Amino acid sequence: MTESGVIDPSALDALTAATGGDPNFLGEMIDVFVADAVELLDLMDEALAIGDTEALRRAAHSLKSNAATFGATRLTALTRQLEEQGKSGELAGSPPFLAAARAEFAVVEDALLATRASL
Amino acid sequence: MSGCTVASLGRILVVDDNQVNRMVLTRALNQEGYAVATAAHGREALDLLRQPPSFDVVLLDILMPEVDGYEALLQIKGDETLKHIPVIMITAVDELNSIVRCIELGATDYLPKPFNAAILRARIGASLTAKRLRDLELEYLEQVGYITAAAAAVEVAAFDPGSLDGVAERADALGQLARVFRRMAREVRAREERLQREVRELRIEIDEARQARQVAEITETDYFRRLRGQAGDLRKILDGTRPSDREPETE
Repeated sequence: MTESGVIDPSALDALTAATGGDPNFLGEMIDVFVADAVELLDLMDEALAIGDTEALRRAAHSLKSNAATFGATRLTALTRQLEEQGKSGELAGSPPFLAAARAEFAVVEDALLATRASL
Repeated sequence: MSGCTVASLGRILVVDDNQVNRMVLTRALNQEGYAVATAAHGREALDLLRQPPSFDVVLLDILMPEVDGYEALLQIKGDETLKHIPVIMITAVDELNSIVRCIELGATDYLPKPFNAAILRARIGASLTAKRLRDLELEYLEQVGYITAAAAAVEVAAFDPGSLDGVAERADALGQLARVFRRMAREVRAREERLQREVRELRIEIDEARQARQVAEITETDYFRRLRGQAGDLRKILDGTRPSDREPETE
Protein backbone atom coordinates (compact mmCIF):
# COMPACT_ATOMS: atom_id res chain seq x y z
CA MET A 1 0.00 0.00 0.00
CA THR A 2 0.97 3.63 -0.29
CA GLU A 3 1.86 5.46 2.89
CA SER A 4 -1.75 6.28 3.45
CA GLY A 5 -2.85 2.75 2.44
CA VAL A 6 -5.08 4.22 -0.23
CA ILE A 7 -3.52 2.59 -3.29
CA ASP A 8 -2.15 -0.94 -3.56
CA PRO A 9 1.14 -0.42 -5.41
CA SER A 10 1.13 -4.00 -6.71
CA ALA A 11 -2.06 -3.21 -8.66
CA LEU A 12 -0.42 -0.15 -10.20
CA ASP A 13 2.66 -2.21 -11.01
CA ALA A 14 0.52 -4.88 -12.71
CA LEU A 15 -1.34 -2.19 -14.64
CA THR A 16 1.90 -0.59 -15.75
CA ALA A 17 3.36 -3.95 -16.80
CA ALA A 18 0.24 -4.97 -18.72
CA THR A 19 0.19 -1.73 -20.67
CA GLY A 20 3.85 -1.69 -21.63
CA GLY A 21 5.34 0.49 -18.91
CA ASP A 22 4.66 3.76 -20.71
CA PRO A 23 4.38 6.48 -18.03
CA ASN A 24 2.53 8.80 -20.38
CA PHE A 25 -0.11 6.17 -20.94
CA LEU A 26 -0.46 5.56 -17.18
CA GLY A 27 -0.89 9.31 -16.70
CA GLU A 28 -3.55 9.37 -19.39
CA MET A 29 -5.41 6.51 -17.69
CA ILE A 30 -5.28 8.29 -14.33
CA ASP A 31 -6.85 11.36 -15.95
CA VAL A 32 -9.65 9.24 -17.45
CA PHE A 33 -10.20 7.46 -14.13
CA VAL A 34 -10.50 10.72 -12.20
CA ALA A 35 -12.85 12.32 -14.74
CA ASP A 36 -15.02 9.20 -14.89
CA ALA A 37 -15.13 8.86 -11.11
CA VAL A 38 -16.41 12.39 -10.64
CA GLU A 39 -19.15 11.72 -13.17
CA LEU A 40 -20.03 8.31 -11.69
CA LEU A 41 -20.30 9.68 -8.14
CA ASP A 42 -22.68 12.39 -9.40
CA LEU A 43 -24.72 9.72 -11.22
CA MET A 44 -24.96 7.76 -7.96
CA ASP A 45 -26.16 10.87 -6.12
CA GLU A 46 -28.88 11.37 -8.72
CA ALA A 47 -29.82 7.69 -8.67
CA LEU A 48 -30.22 7.73 -4.89
CA ALA A 49 -32.24 10.95 -5.05
CA ILE A 50 -34.83 9.39 -7.38
CA GLY A 51 -34.54 5.83 -6.11
CA ASP A 52 -33.20 4.46 -9.42
CA THR A 53 -31.69 1.18 -8.28
CA GLU A 54 -30.45 0.11 -11.71
CA ALA A 55 -28.66 3.42 -12.32
CA LEU A 56 -27.01 3.15 -8.91
CA ARG A 57 -25.95 -0.41 -9.66
CA ARG A 58 -24.41 0.49 -13.03
CA ALA A 59 -22.53 3.56 -11.83
CA ALA A 60 -21.23 1.75 -8.72
CA HIS A 61 -20.21 -1.22 -10.91
CA SER A 62 -18.13 1.00 -13.21
CA LEU A 63 -16.43 2.88 -10.37
CA LYS A 64 -15.74 -0.41 -8.56
CA SER A 65 -14.07 -1.80 -11.70
CA ASN A 66 -11.89 1.26 -12.17
CA ALA A 67 -10.99 1.48 -8.48
CA ALA A 68 -9.88 -2.17 -8.55
CA THR A 69 -7.79 -1.52 -11.67
CA PHE A 70 -5.88 1.24 -9.87
CA GLY A 71 -5.59 -0.68 -6.60
CA ALA A 72 -7.90 1.66 -4.68
CA THR A 73 -8.95 -1.12 -2.33
CA ARG A 74 -11.21 0.79 0.10
CA LEU A 75 -12.99 2.58 -2.74
CA THR A 76 -13.45 -0.81 -4.43
CA ALA A 77 -15.05 -2.24 -1.28
CA LEU A 78 -17.37 0.75 -0.80
CA THR A 79 -18.56 0.76 -4.40
CA ARG A 80 -19.05 -3.01 -4.27
CA GLN A 81 -21.47 -2.44 -1.38
CA LEU A 82 -23.29 0.25 -3.33
CA GLU A 83 -23.53 -2.02 -6.36
CA GLU A 84 -25.01 -4.80 -4.22
CA GLN A 85 -27.51 -2.35 -2.71
CA GLY A 86 -28.55 -1.24 -6.19
CA LYS A 87 -28.88 -4.86 -7.28
CA SER A 88 -31.00 -5.81 -4.27
CA GLY A 89 -33.12 -2.65 -4.51
CA GLU A 90 -32.49 -1.82 -0.84
CA LEU A 91 -31.20 1.76 -0.94
CA ALA A 92 -32.05 2.77 2.64
CA GLY A 93 -28.49 2.22 3.82
CA SER A 94 -26.83 3.60 0.72
CA PRO A 95 -26.33 7.33 1.53
CA PRO A 96 -23.58 6.76 4.14
CA PHE A 97 -21.78 4.40 1.78
CA LEU A 98 -21.97 6.93 -1.01
CA ALA A 99 -20.67 9.69 1.26
CA ALA A 100 -17.82 7.43 2.34
CA ALA A 101 -17.06 6.56 -1.29
CA ARG A 102 -16.93 10.22 -2.22
CA ALA A 103 -14.57 10.98 0.67
CA GLU A 104 -12.40 7.99 -0.18
CA PHE A 105 -12.26 9.05 -3.82
CA ALA A 106 -10.89 12.46 -2.79
CA VAL A 107 -8.02 10.66 -1.07
CA VAL A 108 -7.52 8.30 -3.99
CA GLU A 109 -7.47 11.20 -6.41
CA ASP A 110 -4.76 12.95 -4.38
CA ALA A 111 -2.70 9.75 -4.26
CA LEU A 112 -3.04 9.10 -7.99
CA LEU A 113 -2.27 12.70 -8.93
CA ALA A 114 0.84 12.47 -6.77
CA THR A 115 1.76 9.25 -8.59
CA ARG A 116 1.10 10.97 -11.89
CA ALA A 117 3.36 13.88 -10.95
CA SER A 118 6.17 11.49 -10.08
CA LEU A 119 6.06 9.63 -13.42
CA MET B 1 -16.11 3.21 -31.16
CA SER B 2 -12.77 2.68 -32.83
CA GLY B 3 -11.17 0.92 -35.75
CA CYS B 4 -8.49 -1.70 -35.50
CA THR B 5 -5.03 -0.67 -34.44
CA VAL B 6 -1.69 -2.31 -35.20
CA ALA B 7 -1.06 -5.07 -37.71
CA SER B 8 -1.45 -8.31 -36.00
CA LEU B 9 -1.35 -11.90 -34.88
CA GLY B 10 -5.14 -11.77 -34.76
CA ARG B 11 -8.07 -9.35 -34.61
CA ILE B 12 -9.76 -8.85 -31.28
CA LEU B 13 -12.95 -6.95 -30.46
CA VAL B 14 -13.09 -5.47 -26.97
CA VAL B 15 -16.64 -4.71 -25.81
CA ASP B 16 -16.90 -2.73 -22.59
CA ASP B 17 -18.77 0.41 -21.59
CA ASN B 18 -15.90 1.32 -19.28
CA GLN B 19 -13.35 3.55 -20.98
CA VAL B 20 -10.52 2.64 -18.62
CA ASN B 21 -11.06 -1.06 -19.32
CA ARG B 22 -11.07 -0.43 -23.07
CA MET B 23 -7.86 1.59 -22.80
CA VAL B 24 -6.09 -1.04 -20.69
CA LEU B 25 -7.14 -3.97 -22.85
CA THR B 26 -6.37 -2.21 -26.11
CA ARG B 27 -2.90 -1.24 -24.98
CA ALA B 28 -2.16 -4.66 -23.43
CA LEU B 29 -3.35 -6.54 -26.53
CA ASN B 30 -1.46 -4.22 -28.87
CA GLN B 31 1.65 -4.96 -26.82
CA GLU B 32 1.10 -8.65 -27.56
CA GLY B 33 0.83 -7.95 -31.28
CA TYR B 34 -2.95 -8.13 -31.74
CA ALA B 35 -5.09 -5.70 -33.70
CA VAL B 36 -7.89 -4.34 -31.53
CA ALA B 37 -11.23 -2.67 -32.18
CA THR B 38 -13.52 -1.49 -29.39
CA ALA B 39 -17.24 -1.14 -28.80
CA ALA B 40 -18.99 0.51 -25.85
CA HIS B 41 -22.00 -1.82 -25.80
CA GLY B 42 -23.45 -4.96 -27.32
CA ARG B 43 -25.30 -3.34 -30.19
CA GLU B 44 -22.20 -1.55 -31.42
CA ALA B 45 -20.29 -4.83 -31.09
CA LEU B 46 -22.86 -6.75 -33.15
CA ASP B 47 -22.72 -4.07 -35.86
CA LEU B 48 -18.93 -4.41 -36.03
CA LEU B 49 -19.08 -8.22 -36.02
CA ARG B 50 -21.56 -8.30 -38.90
CA GLN B 51 -19.34 -6.37 -41.27
CA PRO B 52 -15.88 -7.20 -42.64
CA PRO B 53 -13.18 -7.70 -41.71
CA SER B 54 -13.90 -10.53 -39.30
CA PHE B 55 -12.63 -10.93 -35.73
CA ASP B 56 -10.77 -13.86 -34.19
CA VAL B 57 -11.80 -13.31 -30.56
CA VAL B 58 -14.37 -11.16 -28.72
CA LEU B 59 -13.74 -9.87 -25.19
CA LEU B 60 -17.21 -9.10 -23.81
CA ASP B 61 -18.24 -7.26 -20.67
CA ILE B 62 -21.54 -8.29 -19.06
CA LEU B 63 -23.12 -5.20 -17.53
CA MET B 64 -23.51 -2.64 -20.33
CA PRO B 65 -26.17 -0.22 -21.59
CA GLU B 66 -28.15 -0.76 -24.83
CA VAL B 67 -27.47 -4.47 -25.42
CA ASP B 68 -25.78 -6.17 -22.44
CA GLY B 69 -23.23 -8.99 -22.53
CA TYR B 70 -25.80 -11.79 -22.13
CA GLU B 71 -27.90 -10.58 -25.06
CA ALA B 72 -24.85 -9.92 -27.25
CA LEU B 73 -23.54 -13.41 -26.45
CA LEU B 74 -26.92 -14.96 -27.32
CA GLN B 75 -26.98 -13.14 -30.64
CA ILE B 76 -23.40 -14.08 -31.49
CA LYS B 77 -23.98 -17.76 -30.70
CA GLY B 78 -27.29 -17.73 -32.59
CA ASP B 79 -25.72 -16.34 -35.75
CA GLU B 80 -24.34 -18.98 -38.16
CA THR B 81 -21.65 -16.62 -39.41
CA LEU B 82 -20.48 -15.52 -35.93
CA LYS B 83 -21.01 -18.47 -33.61
CA HIS B 84 -17.56 -19.96 -34.22
CA ILE B 85 -15.81 -16.81 -32.87
CA PRO B 86 -14.54 -17.45 -29.33
CA VAL B 87 -16.11 -15.10 -26.77
CA ILE B 88 -14.24 -14.42 -23.53
CA MET B 89 -16.34 -12.74 -20.86
CA ILE B 90 -14.79 -9.85 -18.94
CA THR B 91 -15.81 -10.09 -15.31
CA ALA B 92 -14.88 -8.96 -11.83
CA VAL B 93 -13.78 -11.65 -9.41
CA ASP B 94 -16.97 -11.10 -7.38
CA GLU B 95 -19.18 -11.83 -10.41
CA LEU B 96 -18.21 -15.43 -11.02
CA ASN B 97 -21.82 -16.63 -10.78
CA SER B 98 -22.51 -14.71 -13.98
CA ILE B 99 -19.76 -16.64 -15.71
CA VAL B 100 -21.53 -19.97 -15.22
CA ARG B 101 -24.52 -18.58 -17.09
CA CYS B 102 -22.30 -17.17 -19.85
CA ILE B 103 -20.45 -20.45 -20.35
CA GLU B 104 -23.82 -22.22 -20.56
CA LEU B 105 -24.74 -19.70 -23.27
CA GLY B 106 -21.61 -20.54 -25.25
CA ALA B 107 -18.83 -18.33 -23.89
CA THR B 108 -15.39 -19.89 -24.29
CA ASP B 109 -13.75 -18.53 -21.17
CA TYR B 110 -13.64 -15.54 -18.83
CA LEU B 111 -11.13 -12.85 -18.02
CA PRO B 112 -11.10 -11.59 -14.43
CA LYS B 113 -10.77 -7.88 -13.65
CA PRO B 114 -8.46 -6.24 -12.73
CA PHE B 115 -6.58 -7.55 -15.74
CA ASN B 116 -3.49 -9.66 -15.35
CA ALA B 117 -1.15 -9.65 -18.34
CA ALA B 118 -0.22 -13.34 -18.06
CA ILE B 119 -3.84 -14.49 -17.76
CA LEU B 120 -4.87 -12.23 -20.64
CA ARG B 121 -2.07 -13.62 -22.82
CA ALA B 122 -2.89 -17.24 -21.96
CA ARG B 123 -6.64 -16.95 -22.52
CA ILE B 124 -6.37 -15.03 -25.75
CA GLY B 125 -3.72 -17.48 -26.99
CA ALA B 126 -5.84 -20.53 -26.14
CA SER B 127 -8.94 -19.05 -27.76
CA LEU B 128 -7.04 -18.08 -30.91
CA THR B 129 -5.61 -21.59 -31.20
CA ALA B 130 -9.11 -23.05 -30.89
CA LYS B 131 -10.42 -20.56 -33.45
CA ARG B 132 -7.67 -21.37 -35.94
CA LEU B 133 -8.26 -25.12 -35.57
CA ARG B 134 -11.95 -24.52 -36.17
CA ASP B 135 -11.16 -22.34 -39.20
CA LEU B 136 -8.96 -25.14 -40.59
CA GLU B 137 -11.73 -27.65 -39.96
CA LEU B 138 -14.26 -25.45 -41.76
CA GLU B 139 -11.88 -24.98 -44.69
CA TYR B 140 -11.26 -28.75 -44.84
CA LEU B 141 -14.98 -29.50 -44.86
CA GLU B 142 -15.53 -26.87 -47.55
CA GLN B 143 -12.84 -28.46 -49.72
CA VAL B 144 -14.24 -31.95 -49.16
CA GLY B 145 -17.46 -30.41 -50.48
CA TYR B 146 -15.67 -29.36 -53.68
CA ILE B 147 -14.61 -32.97 -54.27
CA THR B 148 -18.08 -34.40 -53.68
CA ALA B 149 -19.51 -31.71 -55.97
CA ALA B 150 -16.93 -32.69 -58.59
CA ALA B 151 -18.00 -36.33 -58.28
CA ALA B 152 -21.62 -35.30 -58.84
CA ALA B 153 -20.55 -33.20 -61.84
CA VAL B 154 -18.72 -36.19 -63.33
CA GLU B 155 -21.96 -38.19 -63.08
CA VAL B 156 -23.78 -35.65 -65.27
CA ALA B 157 -20.80 -34.99 -67.57
CA ALA B 158 -20.43 -31.41 -66.30
CA PHE B 159 -17.10 -31.74 -64.50
CA ASP B 160 -14.76 -28.77 -64.72
CA PRO B 161 -11.20 -29.89 -63.79
CA GLY B 162 -10.41 -26.31 -62.73
CA SER B 163 -12.96 -26.60 -59.91
CA LEU B 164 -10.46 -28.72 -57.95
CA ASP B 165 -7.38 -26.55 -58.48
CA GLY B 166 -7.61 -24.97 -55.00
CA VAL B 167 -7.98 -28.33 -53.22
CA ALA B 168 -5.27 -29.93 -55.36
CA GLU B 169 -2.75 -27.40 -54.05
CA ARG B 170 -3.04 -28.87 -50.55
CA ALA B 171 -0.02 -30.89 -49.43
CA ASP B 172 -2.11 -33.37 -47.40
CA ALA B 173 -4.13 -36.48 -48.26
CA LEU B 174 -7.12 -34.40 -49.36
CA GLY B 175 -4.91 -32.59 -51.86
CA GLN B 176 -3.63 -35.92 -53.15
CA LEU B 177 -7.20 -37.18 -53.48
CA ALA B 178 -8.11 -34.06 -55.47
CA ARG B 179 -5.08 -34.45 -57.75
CA VAL B 180 -5.81 -38.15 -58.40
CA PHE B 181 -9.51 -37.42 -58.94
CA ARG B 182 -8.73 -34.58 -61.35
CA ARG B 183 -6.24 -36.70 -63.33
CA MET B 184 -8.64 -39.66 -63.54
CA ALA B 185 -11.50 -37.40 -64.56
CA ARG B 186 -9.31 -35.86 -67.27
CA GLU B 187 -8.35 -39.34 -68.51
CA VAL B 188 -11.98 -40.42 -68.57
CA ARG B 189 -12.90 -37.28 -70.47
CA ALA B 190 -10.06 -37.80 -72.99
CA ARG B 191 -11.16 -41.41 -73.48
CA GLU B 192 -14.75 -40.32 -73.99
CA GLU B 193 -13.69 -37.72 -76.54
CA ARG B 194 -11.57 -40.29 -78.40
CA LEU B 195 -14.45 -42.77 -78.44
CA GLN B 196 -16.83 -40.07 -79.69
CA ARG B 197 -14.39 -39.23 -82.50
CA GLU B 198 -14.11 -42.90 -83.45
CA VAL B 199 -17.87 -43.26 -83.42
CA ARG B 200 -18.18 -40.25 -85.74
CA GLU B 201 -15.61 -41.76 -88.12
CA LEU B 202 -17.35 -45.13 -88.03
CA ARG B 203 -20.65 -43.48 -88.83
CA ILE B 204 -19.12 -41.86 -91.90
CA GLU B 205 -17.73 -45.22 -93.05
CA ILE B 206 -21.06 -46.88 -92.43
CA ASP B 207 -22.84 -44.18 -94.41
CA GLU B 208 -20.42 -44.59 -97.34
CA ALA B 209 -20.77 -48.37 -97.30
CA ARG B 210 -24.52 -48.07 -97.19
CA GLN B 211 -24.49 -45.74 -100.20
CA ALA B 212 -22.21 -48.14 -102.11
CA ARG B 213 -24.48 -51.02 -101.25
CA GLN B 214 -27.53 -49.11 -102.39
CA VAL B 215 -25.79 -48.26 -105.68
CA ALA B 216 -24.79 -51.89 -106.11
CA GLU B 217 -28.31 -53.04 -105.32
CA ILE B 218 -29.54 -50.90 -108.18
CA THR B 219 -26.78 -51.49 -110.72
CA GLU B 220 -26.73 -55.23 -110.28
CA THR B 221 -30.42 -55.77 -111.13
CA ASP B 222 -31.53 -57.26 -114.53
CA TYR B 223 -33.71 -54.26 -114.97
CA PHE B 224 -30.72 -51.92 -114.69
CA ARG B 225 -28.70 -54.06 -117.04
CA ARG B 226 -31.51 -53.95 -119.64
CA LEU B 227 -31.75 -50.24 -119.26
CA ARG B 228 -28.02 -49.94 -119.76
CA GLY B 229 -28.23 -52.10 -122.88
CA GLN B 230 -31.09 -50.08 -124.24
CA ALA B 231 -29.18 -46.91 -123.52
CA GLY B 232 -26.21 -48.32 -125.50
CA ASP B 233 -28.42 -49.20 -128.45
CA LEU B 234 -29.98 -45.84 -128.42
CA ARG B 235 -26.57 -44.23 -128.42
CA LYS B 236 -25.52 -46.29 -131.48
CA ILE B 237 -28.72 -45.44 -133.32
CA LEU B 238 -28.14 -41.84 -132.66
CA ASP B 239 -24.59 -42.38 -133.88
CA GLY B 240 -26.03 -43.94 -137.16
CA THR B 241 -25.12 -47.48 -136.55
CA ARG B 242 -27.24 -50.56 -136.47
CA PRO B 243 -28.48 -51.73 -133.17
CA SER B 244 -26.23 -54.35 -131.83
CA ASP B 245 -27.18 -57.72 -130.82
CA ARG B 246 -28.60 -57.21 -127.58
CA GLU B 247 -29.81 -59.48 -124.92
CA PRO B 248 -33.36 -60.47 -125.48
CA GLU B 249 -35.82 -58.93 -123.14
CA THR B 250 -37.08 -61.31 -120.61
CA GLU B 251 -40.62 -60.05 -120.74
